[in-house]
Amino acid sequence: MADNQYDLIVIGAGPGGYPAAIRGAQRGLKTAIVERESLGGICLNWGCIPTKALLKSAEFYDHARHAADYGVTTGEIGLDWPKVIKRSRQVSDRLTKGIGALMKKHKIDVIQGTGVIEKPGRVVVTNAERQAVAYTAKHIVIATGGRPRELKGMEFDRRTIISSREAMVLDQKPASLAIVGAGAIGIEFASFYATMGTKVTVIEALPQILPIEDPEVATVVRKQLEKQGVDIHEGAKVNRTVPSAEGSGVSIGITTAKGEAVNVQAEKLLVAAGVVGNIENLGLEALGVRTDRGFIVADRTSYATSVPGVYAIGDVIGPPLLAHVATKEAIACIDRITGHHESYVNYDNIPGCTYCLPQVASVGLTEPKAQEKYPDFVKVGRFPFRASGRALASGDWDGFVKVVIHSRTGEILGVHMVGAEVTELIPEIVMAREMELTVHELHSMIHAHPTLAEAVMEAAADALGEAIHI
Amino acid sequence: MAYVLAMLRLSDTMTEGVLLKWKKKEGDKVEAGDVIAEVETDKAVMDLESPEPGILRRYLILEGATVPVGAPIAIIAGADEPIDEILSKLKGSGDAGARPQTAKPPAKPAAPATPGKPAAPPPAPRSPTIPPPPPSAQAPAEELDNGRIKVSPLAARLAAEHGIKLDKIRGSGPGGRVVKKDVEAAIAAGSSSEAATRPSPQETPIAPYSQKEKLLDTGDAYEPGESIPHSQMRKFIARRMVQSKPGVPHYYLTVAVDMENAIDFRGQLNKALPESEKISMTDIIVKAAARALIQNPRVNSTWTEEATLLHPSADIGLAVALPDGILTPVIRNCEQRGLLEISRERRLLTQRARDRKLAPDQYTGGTFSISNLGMYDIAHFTAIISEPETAILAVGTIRDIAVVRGGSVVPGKRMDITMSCDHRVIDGAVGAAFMRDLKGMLEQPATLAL
Repeated sequence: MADNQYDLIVIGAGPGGYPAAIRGAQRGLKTAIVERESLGGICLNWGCIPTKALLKSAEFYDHARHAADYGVTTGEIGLDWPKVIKRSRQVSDRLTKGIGALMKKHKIDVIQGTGVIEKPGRVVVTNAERQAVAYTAKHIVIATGGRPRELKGMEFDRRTIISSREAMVLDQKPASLAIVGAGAIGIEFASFYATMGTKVTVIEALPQILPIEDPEVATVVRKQLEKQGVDIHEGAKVNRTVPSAEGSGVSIGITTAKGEAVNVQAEKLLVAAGVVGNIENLGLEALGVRTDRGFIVADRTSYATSVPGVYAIGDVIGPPLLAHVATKEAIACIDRITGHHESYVNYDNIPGCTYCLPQVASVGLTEPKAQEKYPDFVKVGRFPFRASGRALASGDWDGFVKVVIHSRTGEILGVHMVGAEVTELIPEIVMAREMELTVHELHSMIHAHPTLAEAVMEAAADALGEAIHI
Repeated sequence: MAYVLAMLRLSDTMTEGVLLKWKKKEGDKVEAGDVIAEVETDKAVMDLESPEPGILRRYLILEGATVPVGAPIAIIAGADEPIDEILSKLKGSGDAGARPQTAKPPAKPAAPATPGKPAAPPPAPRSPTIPPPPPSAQAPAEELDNGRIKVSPLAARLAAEHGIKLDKIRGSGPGGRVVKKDVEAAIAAGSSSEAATRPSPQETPIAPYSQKEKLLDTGDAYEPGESIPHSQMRKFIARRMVQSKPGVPHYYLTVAVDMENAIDFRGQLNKALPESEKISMTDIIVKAAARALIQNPRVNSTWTEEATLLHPSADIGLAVALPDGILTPVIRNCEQRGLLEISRERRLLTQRARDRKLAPDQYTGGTFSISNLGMYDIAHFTAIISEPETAILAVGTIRDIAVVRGGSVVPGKRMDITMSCDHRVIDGAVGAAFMRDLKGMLEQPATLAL
């Protein structure tokens, strides 16, 4: 490039960074984006996307083994493990190239290397050849994301004790796998590996797997995993982890919720116990950017940090650790920088999706949380997919839709779903809540038949005591 | 040629009107017949049309103003035509106002936005690819659409819960929409009784939101201790009732009707009809009354100084309760219509009355009125005659009581109907004959099919 002066430099090209850069270009800012690995960040390369590709292979494998139920005859169903992995990498590659094309389209300069903010308005990027180049920018947005949290006593050796990154590119399907941490990531891997035939053990410190989901939803997921042979230890404490006596693998000593000492043997241990922000090697301390417990402190309206001219968005500023949140934060941040102050992120209305089989999707308060907040004013409606024509026709009849409402106003306090494809059903609820529609509107609106989405309408009806189909 | 538009007489009883909303802006082109404003009259909300083409140059009154029929309300002229002379003439006569502002409180605008300007001046080849939002999207729109306030369904319910009137709340949502937090703020400001004093919510049913489902809900959101400003309708009802009661010599005739056969008859008819078309007892009463009126024409009449006019058809008005008053839409030529037709017409007119969309010829010119308070369990009542009619029928509820039949006491279904009669026109025997005929038809409803 002719000169190294920009209006905006974004550090990190994940689902927070690249939308920030594109929005900057759309608003007329001369923009550059710094990336030390691959465009698309964790989401595209080591997170959301490849895991969905893997889970699709698992789903396919599962369906194929039940082909006879659908009147389809097959030969022997087998797994080409390297192909399973390769396919997920191909999907990532394709999308990464796509981001590259978007950067070109919007005339955003991509600077490969590691960026350090030397002082406000000045970023020095060191590339693979150890060459350092300085760039200036009026606005700097930090979107460096996060990485798997390491637990003491279970530090990653990336062969036996692994993180999600390694878990999605294993050379061979492990015979057994222990997973510490039963949030969305841990449970997705549990579902994937169990479906593929690995013996999986899940260890979770909190009393419930999928701790932030509604308890009834967690129950359905738990039952399904157990049916697949997964051992689940909730409320368990890990005492120590040592290399397995029998050659490769680990031996994990845990104390269960009941106080029993149990020894879990597994070929590999996946630690999926949270995320920490990538706040190192950015020059933040020298700059004076405030951090707290591993994340950058940023105002959740303007995304300004404690240093004027330096902003931060996405996983690096902490929960909610979701790609769609990072994207919206990025857009709001740039909009406000360019004078569009109506742009904002509604943190009270963020959907969460987990792609285990069956899927989980939810938004708003769980039933217990709703009861806590509005004692005596909570009504619940449920509709099981067992009663849905569409679900039965597909053969996917596990799960339900649950609608939690305020009994006086009909306000939709929360909706919790578990079942096939429910991640595609949740936007209706997010929209309804954003527009302050109530359970009445959800109920009275026509939902095409036969669809899974009808279950939403029926659950709403049930909350009003008017369900027709149950 | 500049034209001063005056408040038009939109109904024959109208003496003043409330300008609810201008439908054209200053500077808009209007053709003859274009709707310029919505006006509330004594009976309905009506469209005020421009009789002249031109440009709407100046509003002379504010939205929300009440003016007498004939008062100047706007100036229509050519685009460049000078109107100062007219304005000063009107001002001189004390009528024209200064530059009108809207009477409604402005909605709180969102934080000020500057359309599409980038923060730093961009070099030449780069320009914003997102167009700036159109100014209207930023306008603090206290726009009322057909009298409805922009409000989210949730906010509307919350406000209803706490008895808060929506037009008292400033909307902070998009386009001035009233949203939940606006209502919560109003609640916190203490403009309603506390939810804590409400009865236990466990069994409280959720009220349906749809207006269609609303029953005759005559309650409104006013609290004891408040004063309700008179709407045009209220003033009108008061005027008419005061004229009628002392002015017309009322007397009352009551009969108790055995409704068993009518109930059976209705049940049989309704077996063949879908839910949305079912015949009501009122429809049967209307039909029977229509027949009886044709048979007893003095009851279907009007008193004038010179003569008693006997009307050629039974045009029956049915009292419809509204949240702030009553309206009496008229079903014409009832004696010629079948029950299903009467039923359909009743439904249509009732909905229009509730929507305040009745045209003058739909609520004037009736020859007889019926008021039914049966659904409120009223056993018996007397109604006030609606001039220039000479009688009105008050229908009570159908009661299960012990009756004497064939010498024994058996359970029976009785309904009391009471007619108020104008003694200038209807003598006792004449009124009684009508009531006898009406009772006969209600007790032998099959004759209505003849």
